[in-house]
Amino acid sequence: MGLKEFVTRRIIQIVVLYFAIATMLFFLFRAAPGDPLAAYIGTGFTQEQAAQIRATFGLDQPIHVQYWKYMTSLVTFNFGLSYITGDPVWGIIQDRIWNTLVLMGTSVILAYLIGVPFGAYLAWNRGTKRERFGVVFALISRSAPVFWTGLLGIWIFSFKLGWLPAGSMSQPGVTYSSKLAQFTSPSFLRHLILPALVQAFYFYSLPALLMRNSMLEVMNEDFVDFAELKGISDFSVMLKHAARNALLPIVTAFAVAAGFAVGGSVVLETVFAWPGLGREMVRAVIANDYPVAQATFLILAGLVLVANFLADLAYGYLDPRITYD
Amino acid sequence: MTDQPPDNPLQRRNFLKKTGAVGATVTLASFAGCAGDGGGGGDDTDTETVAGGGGDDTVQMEGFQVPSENVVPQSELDEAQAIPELTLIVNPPDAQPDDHETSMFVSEEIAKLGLDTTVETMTWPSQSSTVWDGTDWDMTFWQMVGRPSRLDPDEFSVQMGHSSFQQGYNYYFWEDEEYDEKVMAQREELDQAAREELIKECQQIFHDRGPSTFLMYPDKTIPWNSERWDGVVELNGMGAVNMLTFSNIEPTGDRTELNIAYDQELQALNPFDQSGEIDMIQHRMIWDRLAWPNESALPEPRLAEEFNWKDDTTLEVPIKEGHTFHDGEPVTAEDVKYSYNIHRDYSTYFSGPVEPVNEITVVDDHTVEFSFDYHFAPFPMAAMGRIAIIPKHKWTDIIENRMDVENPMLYQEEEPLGSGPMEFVHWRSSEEVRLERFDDHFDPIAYEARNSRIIPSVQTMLTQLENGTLDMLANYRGDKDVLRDRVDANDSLSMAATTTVGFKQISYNNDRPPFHIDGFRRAMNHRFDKETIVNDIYGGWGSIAPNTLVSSALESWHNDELERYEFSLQAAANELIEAGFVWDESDGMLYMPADNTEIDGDDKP
Amino acid sequence: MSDQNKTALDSESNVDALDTELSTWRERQADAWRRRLAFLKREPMGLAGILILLAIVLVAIFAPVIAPYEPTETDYGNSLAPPSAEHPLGTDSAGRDIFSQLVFGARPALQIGLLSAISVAFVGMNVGLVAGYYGGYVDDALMRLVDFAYGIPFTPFIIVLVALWEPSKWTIVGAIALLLWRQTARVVRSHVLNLKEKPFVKSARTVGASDRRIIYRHIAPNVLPLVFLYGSFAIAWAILTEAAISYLGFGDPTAVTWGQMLQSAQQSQALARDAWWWFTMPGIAIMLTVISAFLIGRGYEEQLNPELQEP
Repeated sequence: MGLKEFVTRRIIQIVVLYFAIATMLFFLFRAAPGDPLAAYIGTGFTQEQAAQIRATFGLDQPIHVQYWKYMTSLVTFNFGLSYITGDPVWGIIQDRIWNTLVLMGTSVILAYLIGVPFGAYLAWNRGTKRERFGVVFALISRSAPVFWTGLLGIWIFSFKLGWLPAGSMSQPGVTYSSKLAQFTSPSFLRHLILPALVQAFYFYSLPALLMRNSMLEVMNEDFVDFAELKGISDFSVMLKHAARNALLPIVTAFAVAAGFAVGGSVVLETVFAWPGLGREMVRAVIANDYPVAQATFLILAGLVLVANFLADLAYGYLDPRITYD
Repeated sequence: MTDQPPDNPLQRRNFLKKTGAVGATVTLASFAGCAGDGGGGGDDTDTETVAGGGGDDTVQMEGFQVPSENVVPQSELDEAQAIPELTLIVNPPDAQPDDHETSMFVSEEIAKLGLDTTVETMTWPSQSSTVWDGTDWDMTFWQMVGRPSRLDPDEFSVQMGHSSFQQGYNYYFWEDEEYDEKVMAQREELDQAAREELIKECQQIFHDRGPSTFLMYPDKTIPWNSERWDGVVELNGMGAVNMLTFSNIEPTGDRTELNIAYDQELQALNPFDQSGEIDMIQHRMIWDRLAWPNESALPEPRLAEEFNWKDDTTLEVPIKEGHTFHDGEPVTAEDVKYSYNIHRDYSTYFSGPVEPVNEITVVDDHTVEFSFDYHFAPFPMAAMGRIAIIPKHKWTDIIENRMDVENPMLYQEEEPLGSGPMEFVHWRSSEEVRLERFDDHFDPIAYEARNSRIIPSVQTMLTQLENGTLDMLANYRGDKDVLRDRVDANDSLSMAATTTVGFKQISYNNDRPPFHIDGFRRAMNHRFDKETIVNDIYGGWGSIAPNTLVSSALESWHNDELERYEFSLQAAANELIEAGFVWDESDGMLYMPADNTEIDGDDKP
Repeated sequence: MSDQNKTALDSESNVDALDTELSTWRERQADAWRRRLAFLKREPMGLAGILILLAIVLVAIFAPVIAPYEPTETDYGNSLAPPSAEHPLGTDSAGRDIFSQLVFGARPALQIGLLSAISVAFVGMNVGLVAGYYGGYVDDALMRLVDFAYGIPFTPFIIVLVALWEPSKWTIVGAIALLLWRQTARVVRSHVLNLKEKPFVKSARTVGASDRRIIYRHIAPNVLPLVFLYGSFAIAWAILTEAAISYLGFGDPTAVTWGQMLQSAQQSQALARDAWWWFTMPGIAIMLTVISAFLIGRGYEEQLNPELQEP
């Protein structure tokens, strides 16, 4: 089986998976106890008015019709109306996709920029106290809940030192001509630093440990030569050698981490009041705003699937042993 | 006041839950005679004496005494008399930590009477569907917030007290014929003193029968940067965030944009929908009203020139001439008529207040006339102070051509258009709403823009107020002591704490045994240590409330002669004894009177 | 497969012969376990992990003895007291003793962690074993199920489940169990694919041992260390997840958990009040527990060398 066939097959699989996940979600929400429109209808409507509102949201239709509408929305992005505001869901979440991608992308890239050299450093210092301490440190940063490091970060850098904003994405009162203009503005970058660093602080240990392992393998293979090499002291030669070796697991892990970061956005964005998909999902779930909650979940799931797909692809591309079957 | 804790701290919870259980069996052995000197477990504030009986034949329960005829062996108890576990519903502590704390506290206090109680947390939507739309609940924590229209006692008194509102705000199914009569009578009473008297009588009835227990009228605490801004108006019953503030304030320096923090997203910027507390000011900034409340909370003409009652059922309203919408089109009597008719044609939040309207007539370009089915005195406050005037030219087009929903209340304009003192600029969801000054308004404001920032974290908003990013916090929900300390420590900040017309209460499902018995509800009322609740749990940020819907902030309406229920186990037990409740001899659990276990059992006093 | 079953019936007697072989194999296994435990000597970090976890388990068991106060006991007169002799780690805004809450919080943390680990290990191992051993359509179907579980965003899914049903720790455990088995299953399966070709499995098959017997007596013991490893990661994930869910406001608000403590610290503005003892301590408790699981796992990592992956 060639690469092309492999890719097509994977894509088909992913589309099927996506629809399966969407179906599960649909029934998950339907099976939930309680009236989803309670929040909307709650404040003193008559039966007729309630029925009229129910109809507006399409809740008067039989379940299979609702299901069909829902499934077509996956293609048309017409996710219906928010139960809380009555606005089209797609309008609410469309901007947020970019906000989430920028934050998560930055944090994963930062994690790699920190993690890979750190892993190389650990391997280079193998057997020393520094290495041991470094590994423990990497594990510690992995054991701390992101929201907690986030809170500590806000406490220190924002409340105590006043260096960085504690949340949100922009300064008050500024109007941007486009999303791009917003993302490249200095004020946006200032708001981005803290949340991106906090998430990166959690993620960097993954590439760091992988890099360390790969380098250690390389150093074992060439241990005898390596001793001489060390004398000549060409760290960079070794690094190149190791990097080649480490590329496969690290790239694969990159995609996996990206997928996981997307899910983690619910926590990070809530801590930093970042107007992204994750925070919107939390808000929607708390408010029983089912259409928004479903749509944000579906988009997040879609992003995770894409990340998984890229991981597969990278794996297939980088590993010569893979024959795509 | 507290029970002596058992040695093992772990057992304490269970112990509290079951109180009576251990106590009753132990003390029964040594009963009669030793009554009176009270066990170690009694409320030490208790001064009540035991009700009923001759006094020499009482049984010492855990913390209170009961005549022996009210303590019966299990064999004599009917299953129908049993009281199931009573559940108190409250929002999760992340939303309102103090409410939750209070509920836990109250639940334990109620349990001491020999009841099983539990606290169940529900988010607002589930609470709404369970309590508001349902009948399957026992007790619920509930809070109403102050709004301008509630500065007149009519809204709460009628909607939360009259029996015809059981589908609505009277969600606790309370009925009292005398109350109904009086509360409707005040509506048509034109003499202020007589109306006040009627309102006070209503409060007395409500207080005595205790369909729900009021905890407090909370303070609204608003901090702002007083170095930069002058002219904040503290409105009695409402607090500092009100329209007068935002039309009055002036910048003292060169910063002419007001950054104000809200803790949650706007629901909508729709002229027919004002369900969200957050949106109210933005709403009034974009869209004018015919009237608004002045500093004494009385309706005053705004877009209207005056209210001209031609007779009991006809109100003529001339409007300001030469005023325009933000797009330059003039505001006319046609626009006013159209705006009010939307609420008559579609069901909106204001369909109620316009219901008595029989007809709206355009007299000339700048005069409309409302005719009513009967004299409806609250109209200026309930409708004119609330209904937004919208551009007919834009909305006819929307309703005819663009609207893909069935109710204009659900339609979101891309750029909301009104005639108010500020124009809409942008709404970045979960970030901010920006409004800029409309220069041609008849009552122009002194600052250039208003950025409503959405900041969910109270800590963040507080820090940003301190470092100058923000100028005012519109709905600070955090700890008020922290706020006061921070404001005190910062010379550029000020703060207003105002008792509001809103309230916090715990209501009972009056339609479900045992809450259908007055004595039971009255007993519940004796289990609230309001001093501890208000002063300790809520840190004293509110006024302790007797059971009345009319806040003490409304001095002329509030009945200050109501005598509060004493926090006392014995007093509570006495209410139960008088209502015929009995206790199980073996475990001290409370049972309903055998002849009054169902709603039909006549319980009217 | 049916052929094999038939053989198994025909040659029940051969099983005895196999058992002899099995006993030598068992010795080898015991040896392997000894070697595995020897890592503790070489890996002080692994030992540290076990010691930390043990300490936390002891704290959880003896919580009522260790805690000086009842964790939910309020004392409004003594709110936000900094650490002192009376309250070693201070009190929160309702005057509850932080140390006592931490001590009692170890119970739900371990319950959630261990239960999740057991269910993850159980489901993951069985799916992996069955898929790897039988191959073909069974494998395909199960692996698509694994893909399915991988496609679901972890935290959001748990939020939806917990929010739609009830906010109890059991829902959290259930939600974690529904997703986290995916990784264990995948890893176990690929090991089974290898083991299947090993002589001892082949010989078991030739003497006619049933599939079940081969799977659970011959193959399973070999993947157990792996399952144990991923189980220990599951403890870590479960505790982190419970904390995150509680922080977001989806936890059981009446429960005394570390996540719930942080949630109420956040709500009561512990940061703005500089009540560091309130918002740092529960985080440290979480970290200690999680890191103990990671350290134990890492001890194995040297031998098994799996990639430290996201679940």
